[in-house]
Amino acid sequence: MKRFLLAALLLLCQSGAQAALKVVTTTPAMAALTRAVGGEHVQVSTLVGNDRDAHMLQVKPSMMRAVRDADLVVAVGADLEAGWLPEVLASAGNPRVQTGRPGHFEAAMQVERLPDPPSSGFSAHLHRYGNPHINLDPLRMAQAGESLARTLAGLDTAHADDFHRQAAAFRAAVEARLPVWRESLKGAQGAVLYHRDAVYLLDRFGLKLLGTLEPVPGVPPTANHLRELAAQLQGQKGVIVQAPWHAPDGPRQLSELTGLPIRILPLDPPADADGQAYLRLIDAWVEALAAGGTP
Amino acid sequence: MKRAALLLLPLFSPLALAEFQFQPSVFLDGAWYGDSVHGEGNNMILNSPGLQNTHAHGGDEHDHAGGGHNHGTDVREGLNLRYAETTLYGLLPGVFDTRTNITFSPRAGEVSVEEFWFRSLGLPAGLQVKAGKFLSDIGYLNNQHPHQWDMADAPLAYQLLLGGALNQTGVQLNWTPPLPWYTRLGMEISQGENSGYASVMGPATLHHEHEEEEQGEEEPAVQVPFDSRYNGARMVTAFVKIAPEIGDDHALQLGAFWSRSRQHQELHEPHPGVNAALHGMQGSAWIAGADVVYKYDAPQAYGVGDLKIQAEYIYQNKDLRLTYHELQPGLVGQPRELRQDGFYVQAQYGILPRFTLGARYDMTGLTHEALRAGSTRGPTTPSYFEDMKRVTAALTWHITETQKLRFQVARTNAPVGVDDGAAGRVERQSFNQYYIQYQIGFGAHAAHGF
Repeated sequence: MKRFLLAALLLLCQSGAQAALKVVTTTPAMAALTRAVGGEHVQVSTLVGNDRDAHMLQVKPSMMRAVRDADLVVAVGADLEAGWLPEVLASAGNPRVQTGRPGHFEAAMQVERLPDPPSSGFSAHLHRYGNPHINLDPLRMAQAGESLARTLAGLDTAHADDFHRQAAAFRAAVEARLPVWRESLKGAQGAVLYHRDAVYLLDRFGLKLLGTLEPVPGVPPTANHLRELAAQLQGQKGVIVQAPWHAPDGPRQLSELTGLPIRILPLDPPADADGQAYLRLIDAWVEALAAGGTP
Repeated sequence: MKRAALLLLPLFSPLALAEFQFQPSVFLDGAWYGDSVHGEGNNMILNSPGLQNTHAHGGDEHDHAGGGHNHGTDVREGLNLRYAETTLYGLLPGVFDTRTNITFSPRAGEVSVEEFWFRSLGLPAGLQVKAGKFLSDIGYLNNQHPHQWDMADAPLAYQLLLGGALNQTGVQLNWTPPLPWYTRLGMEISQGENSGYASVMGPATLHHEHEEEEQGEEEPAVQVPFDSRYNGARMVTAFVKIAPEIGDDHALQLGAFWSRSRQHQELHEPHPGVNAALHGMQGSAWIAGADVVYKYDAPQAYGVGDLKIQAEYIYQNKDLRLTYHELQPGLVGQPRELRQDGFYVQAQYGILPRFTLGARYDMTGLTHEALRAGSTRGPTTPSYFEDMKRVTAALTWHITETQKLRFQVARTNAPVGVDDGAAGRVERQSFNQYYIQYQIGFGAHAAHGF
């Protein structure tokens, strides 16, 4: 047994002398950011697709398997994955990617976060670190990308310059796009979201959160809540945005009551996205938010 | 907690204690309970005549016959506060995490430390050590607390063969090998004190329970000479879990386990039609089992379309010798091999946003026999005992992320002892059980496993 373990240990050390860093990200937005910053020096896989709510996920053995061999885990962090990631890390048998180690990166912890509304006590959304959904703010993502470059450089010193250069290029791409997005959103008012998961995007462009379809995080819209929301929205311009996995009934009812248009948008780019695909997702959100600007 | 962390620090790393993260949470569980047998449903299950109907202590548990470690889920007719569970989770990043579960059960009037363990997070090569008091990682349900269950109660196999769950003080070493499929191999060495399996009673002095009938008259005490030897780590447990990849939306896990305890002591009390006299037995015991879990994660919100199917089988073998017999002392030393098994199959489906419908079929006693073969004294005929079957349906409303309301109906068919003159006999009886269970959690709860 001892000799067997020793052999396994040796095997592990050998596989450490690699070409590309193995990075496991929680969400596709984190995968896109890692690809943008890491380029050809990283091999990225994501634990969650963009058709799932990263908040509500349950632990799957395949996640432990993926994290088992990772050099780096990139999470949104700030408790977004609190319901499952700690257990995945604890059961993966990989010391390098544990919280606090060089192989563990949390994007939301690298930037200034918006506060969460006070919790009702009945919600498990007790975010100690504020709202974690930074992934839809391109500027905060660019900033997190620069931190990520430092993390990657620490793990793969030979390519440190590439990481810093690519992070700078991603920031430049975001900054080049900002005026275009601002121009498109001229006159846009705000949006009704299903959950408070796109508030960073609204905040970035000075748009208002007109309300959430969920009366309490994790509770689907009730008829009562929709009526109250519709009353508040009288004469208001804007757009209703929902994720593909949300049931269409609530948004449809609110739309019928208020006349606001509905847009269905994912919160993340596709699982194989790079930096460009991430920017296209922001394009799509900007287009959707602009749609509510004029009646 | 913090002091314990401080003590362990030099062993692991020079990290600052300031990094220690701490998350407390509390779960409260209340239930309205009713059944078709005047509130005796759970007693009839736990005291059903057969091999499970033993008087078997496990560690610090109280002595309900047959079932000891019930996680405080005992109920009586009407309204019950079943338990309040406090979980203290601590994490020293990259070094270890620790969890303490303290359960207060008003019904039993006791506070018990169900778990208190430390688990390493920094060992290389996929290795991990866990030490303390913990629910063994055998099977699928064994390491889950009642607030994680999809039903209000545990499967019969857990209640009758493991005394609720295998909960041990010991050390676990587990290994996640670098294989294409997630695989986990684990070994536990533990004290070996549990109800149902690996129960340890020690030398016992018993008084017959006739006090109500014959007030004031002292019955002579009975001395049951159970060994007090084997003080020390008596139990070895091994388990394996393998999770074949079957696509992004699906998850499958197969498991198997084996466990042996070199001490098991139990007392069989007189029971109509099953057992004429008080007798005590001791020896070794082992259990083995297999489990399978399948989950489908549907691309819809609030659990709609999600499916979970789980099944477990547990086999128990006790290799004992009579150490005391009230009526025939000459039988002392005679071997007895007791075998019993059980299984359950359970499915859970998200029918509406936040509503899940569950169904369970469970059974014990497919094998349920006592062998006297191999003895030079006495007969060699085996005795066979009855099986027990149950069908359960549960509708759970996940009101918010931290509140649940569950309506559960079960129909059980069990052997029941009937006091029919001197001999007595065993009859089969069917009865219904009803639960309306409410559960609420406070605080950021630590993540759950698969």
